[in-house]
Amino acid sequence: MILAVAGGKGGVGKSTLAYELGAALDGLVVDADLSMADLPGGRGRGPDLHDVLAGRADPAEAVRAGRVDVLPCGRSLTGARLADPRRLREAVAVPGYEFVVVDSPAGLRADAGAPLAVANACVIVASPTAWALADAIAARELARELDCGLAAVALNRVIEAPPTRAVGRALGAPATAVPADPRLGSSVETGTPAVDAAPGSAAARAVGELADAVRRCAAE
Amino acid sequence: MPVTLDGRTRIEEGVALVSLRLSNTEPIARGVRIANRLDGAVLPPRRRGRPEPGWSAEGFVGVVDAEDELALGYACELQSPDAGAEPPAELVEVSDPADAEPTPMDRAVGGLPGARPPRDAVVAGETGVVGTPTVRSATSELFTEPAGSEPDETRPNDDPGGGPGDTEDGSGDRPAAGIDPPAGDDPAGSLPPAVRRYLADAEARIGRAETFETGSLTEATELLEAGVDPAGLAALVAVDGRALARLADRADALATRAEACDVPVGSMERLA
Repeated sequence: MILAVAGGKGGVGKSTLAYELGAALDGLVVDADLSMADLPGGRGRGPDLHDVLAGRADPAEAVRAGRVDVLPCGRSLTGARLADPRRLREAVAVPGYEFVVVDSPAGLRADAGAPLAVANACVIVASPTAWALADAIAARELARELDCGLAAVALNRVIEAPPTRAVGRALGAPATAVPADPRLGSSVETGTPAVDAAPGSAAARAVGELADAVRRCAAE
Repeated sequence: MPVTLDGRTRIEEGVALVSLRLSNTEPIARGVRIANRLDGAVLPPRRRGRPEPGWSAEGFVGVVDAEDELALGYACELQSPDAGAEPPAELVEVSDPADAEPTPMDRAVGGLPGARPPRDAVVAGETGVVGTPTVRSATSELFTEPAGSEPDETRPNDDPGGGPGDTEDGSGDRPAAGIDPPAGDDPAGSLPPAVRRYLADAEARIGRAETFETGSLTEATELLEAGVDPAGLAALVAVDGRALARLADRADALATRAEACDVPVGSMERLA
């Protein structure tokens, strides 16, 4: 299953949750934020998503193995300019993974639409602020227009009394509150997903709930 | 013709408002492709800020049901006052409905605003052009190993005459001419491009610092008006000085090793 992690608004923690879901689902995470790479490419140099989308490399060549396998994005403006989002369909078809999690860019432009167009389903990430929710609703609309089903909603960086029911109703799928937890915040940098580092934590349990919702969606 | 198109245009303040009616007299649904013939891009109907499905900058792709009509409307910002053509749009293709449905990817890439960096942000400007954006200076290409690298060197340039655009992705797709300094800077012409670029950058910064120190008041004022910050420039030139000294030492040592090195070509070939 190709799963897009989207949200419309920047800075809500999409990339971290994409990474955590990659860990929980044992999947490949593709960093499709073409103009601003979010996930580290690891120490090795090699082809990246810019190369794959420009036809210079096969997707399998660009995968960097780790606790979570990542297909990183390039980091140059030239690469971003030469990347063709239409090639994303082939780029995410890396054999050997039951789940491919595509970390999508913020916004509602073609680079945000392409992951939704190739994905079977999406997880929408919002944080409990008015502007993040408005952007999440717009992202939900875009997903609907691009025939991408909604598997789950993550209400991220929650501190207290999250409006999960209202958010779920607005977006059309049950919302899971993901508490603000510094272990989540640093998981991408340190390469230690919270589901490994703190499996009993509320944050890890929330990621688990989201992963279960994704698996149920895949089974349908 | 089984499918006909009628169009009407009303022009208000340089914007054409186009109404179209497609009529399908056949007992089966037909896919249609409509192309705008007015001089300007299509401004399609939008829902919650995004173009309705089927619309692109060129026109519309969709389906007209059997023995049915489809009403469409769009706007077009005219590039010239009397660019209103009649008819405003043309039915360019009638096909199988399955072919006419744009795929989700068509809708994503065709219907949504583009996201690629503009060409100006990517093609390198000449050294000294105000506002040339740099993502990372060429300096960082030379000093990537942890030992001995100055963390300051990768900070954004304070002076806008920074340097060439970012090309360190190693993809081989280099921006077009204009990125390398003129051959007069390097008479032998034998330095690698990255090194030439770095030296050109450093020379430009040192040149500007020298202007502040010993140049005329007019020259100094020009630099200040261009946004060059003297304190920032002084700091960068100090960093350049240290980096160039280390570079000279390292280059010396490597040159000595290269000259002294004598590969036993014959023996190696016999071994191979």
